[in-house]
Amino acid sequence: MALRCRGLRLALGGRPILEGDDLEVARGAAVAIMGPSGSGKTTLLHCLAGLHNPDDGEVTVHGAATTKMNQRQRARFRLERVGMVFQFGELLEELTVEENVALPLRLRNRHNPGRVTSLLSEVGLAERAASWPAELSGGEVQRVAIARALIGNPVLLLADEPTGALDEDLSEDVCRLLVSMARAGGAVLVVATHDPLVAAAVDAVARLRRGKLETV
Amino acid sequence: MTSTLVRLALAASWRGRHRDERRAAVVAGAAAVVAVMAAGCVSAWLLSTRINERATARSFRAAGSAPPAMERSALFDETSAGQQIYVYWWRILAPGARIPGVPADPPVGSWFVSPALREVMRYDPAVAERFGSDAAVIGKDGVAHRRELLAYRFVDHDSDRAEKLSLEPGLDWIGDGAEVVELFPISVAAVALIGIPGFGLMLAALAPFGPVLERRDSLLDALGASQGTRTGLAVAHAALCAGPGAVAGSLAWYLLSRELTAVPLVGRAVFRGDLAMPAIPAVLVALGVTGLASAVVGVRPRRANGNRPAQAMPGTPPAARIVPLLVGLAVAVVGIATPDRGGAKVFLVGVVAVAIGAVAGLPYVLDRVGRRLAEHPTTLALLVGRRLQWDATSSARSLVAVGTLAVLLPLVAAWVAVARSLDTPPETASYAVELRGDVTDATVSELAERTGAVPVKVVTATNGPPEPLLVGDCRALAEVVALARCDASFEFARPSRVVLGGYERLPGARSAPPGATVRSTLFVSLEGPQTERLLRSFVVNGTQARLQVATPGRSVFRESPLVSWILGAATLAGLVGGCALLLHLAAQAARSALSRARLLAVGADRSTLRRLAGGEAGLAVAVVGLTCTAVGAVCSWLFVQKDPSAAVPYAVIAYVIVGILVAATVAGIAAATAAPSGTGVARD
Repeated sequence: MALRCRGLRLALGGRPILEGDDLEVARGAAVAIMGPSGSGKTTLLHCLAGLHNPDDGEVTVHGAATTKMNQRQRARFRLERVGMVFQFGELLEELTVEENVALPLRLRNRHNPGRVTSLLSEVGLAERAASWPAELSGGEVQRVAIARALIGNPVLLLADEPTGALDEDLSEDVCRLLVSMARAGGAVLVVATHDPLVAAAVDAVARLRRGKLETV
Repeated sequence: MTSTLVRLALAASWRGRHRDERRAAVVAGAAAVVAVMAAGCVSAWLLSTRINERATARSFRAAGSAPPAMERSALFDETSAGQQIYVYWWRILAPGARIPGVPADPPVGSWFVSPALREVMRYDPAVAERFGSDAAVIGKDGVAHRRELLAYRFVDHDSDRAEKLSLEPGLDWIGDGAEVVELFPISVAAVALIGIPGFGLMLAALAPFGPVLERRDSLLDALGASQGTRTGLAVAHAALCAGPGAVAGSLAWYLLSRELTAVPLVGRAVFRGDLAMPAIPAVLVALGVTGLASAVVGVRPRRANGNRPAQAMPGTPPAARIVPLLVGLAVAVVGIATPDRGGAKVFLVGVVAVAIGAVAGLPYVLDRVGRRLAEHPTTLALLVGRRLQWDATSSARSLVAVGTLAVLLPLVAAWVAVARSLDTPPETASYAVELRGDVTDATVSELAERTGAVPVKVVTATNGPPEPLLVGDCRALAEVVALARCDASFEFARPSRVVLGGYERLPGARSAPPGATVRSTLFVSLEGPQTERLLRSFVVNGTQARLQVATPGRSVFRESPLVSWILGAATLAGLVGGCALLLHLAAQAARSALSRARLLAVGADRSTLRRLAGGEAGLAVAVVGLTCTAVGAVCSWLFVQKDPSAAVPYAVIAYVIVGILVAATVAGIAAATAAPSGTGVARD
């Protein structure tokens, strides 16, 4: 399995969020995590990305146990192996579209302008390379965020409500792009979502209820 | 509507979340500091006014043809530790006639001394013996200021001595006029050294409100609230935060000021009550500071929100922002080129305009530096450069106090250097005295003939009040007129005179050009002490009535009283600048927290974030500080052009640069240490 979680437990502020969750996803597969607001979807994604270290349990990505890494190693792992897409894009407003997409590569000192241009073409935003995030529509912001997440050829692509702020047409467009590009790159895609469109586009759906993950 | 606004504003400030309350407390604290500074300025202005009023009240002229009520003669024949004691002999002609500070009909033969002279008499037996241990003390209403050395002697109608004293029915002035500070330069200095840094402190304190106001403004806009309502809410919010601080600061100064016996940070002794702040100005100060905070928030630009077209790079400042700086420099240059006191005033106004223009142009400078930096291939340079560009206006706003200081410190140093050069007492072998009163051409000719001193006319093209005649040997006068040689064949290099405590070069000449007005005459003597004796003899026994000789040179060449005021104000400005810098760092950390959280999510490690935070904070301080120091150095260079002997204060400029670099380093380290602890992007 490309992604494996075993017995993830995490409490924040004394409140249990994750209570012994397990998850296994094969290489190139896409999984949707669904659940009501406050159920811990984002926290689970943050544990997978190494932004939170769980109180207990283990996360393994392609054999690498991120839960045994220190903070610096997790950041390095995130930079090189993980891509993240957030509900509102979370682009750096002070950087241009091109600079936002290039950021993960530049942080690795592997700036590759050709790759940036090609990826922007793939998401249909080649002509907006020099634009600022404030000049983009919601759908364009998400496409830039997807390009940024994929620029480093990640083995794990995590998306947190990527269509939450978009209308139906745009949601479908972004969802198709996300799944197809993840598959093309052979990355594991884990999407936290409420959107049935997303759920319909992925290979499997898991439901998070009161901190417990149940495969549907 | 009003009550709704107030309720909303209260909820957003003192009744809000802990973070809101903390922001409100910072604004209240800054408002308190600014209120104390403003109230202190008002008290200083009132002090000067009170000194001027008391000095004016005791000086009189004989009124028309009415018989004079009293006569007097100025002797100036006593000194203490090189300082002139102003001694006046009085003859009361009309019983009951009052001299300020002295009871009616003082006993004949009695001495009255000022409180400062009474202090001197306690430790100087020679002075005590001269004025007698039973000398009465002149009341506060008869003494201009607390450090004044003044003595009155009352003589009889029939006294032989009185007949020899050339008693006159009235003269224009009593005592030393040096402490009577000109209000114009004091006011300009207060604006530059206290007003602008105080404003900068308020801007820095209000800076963290920026994102809060933007979000709320955007939300209310979306809900359909009018621009007026939204601005009203922002103004009410700021007023509620700043108001309590402004009232507390103003009240504290109101209570404290009536007990002070010295000006804080300036150190000049004053009579208790001379700094007292009346109630109405105290209320006005509180209202003014509250209004200032409201105005800052009310007129601040809002970034793009949902209803407005998006900006490519919000806050991108236009090049026109540096126009005020160029205008200020032009005004300063005009001031330098304009002779006489008018030029000095124009120069001061120009310098204040430069300080304001420099800080107004800072967003443009930060934007240009950020743009250039972002072109650098390294990622850190890109991120720091873009942050500088993005936050150019906000950063510049919260660094106003630091920038103003960096502009003004080199200039203050130049001014103090010039003024302080006067402080060096003439060598023991050299001397200089002042000849006061009606100095006519006949006086000058007669004096030249009797003393052997050489008159040199200093001329200007404008009229003005008569100035004392300076008489001294060439070593003493070299301080003023830049003598090329100090021997029998002395030559004036560049005549100048003292203006606003510093030198001003005069278009002087040894002979007056046609149409020019002789403003003063310098006498240069090669026989110092002998000349003084001749001079005193000439005045007391000669036909030249209404003349007095004031001794010695030290009173002529002593440090301007403005120096202590300016240094005190500069110290206060430095403290305020330091506080503003701390507030700036806090505001900047808050502004860039989200960007750093996003970077963390992308995969940046904490050391990268620390370097980014440090680089951003340090670079902003360095760019603002060094830019403004460069402007200040130019102003300093312009200023010393008025002085034939002063040099640009390179050492002080170097200290300022080192100080800026240290502040930038500390700011960078402080910002880097405060690394983000959370992702900031969690929503579930």
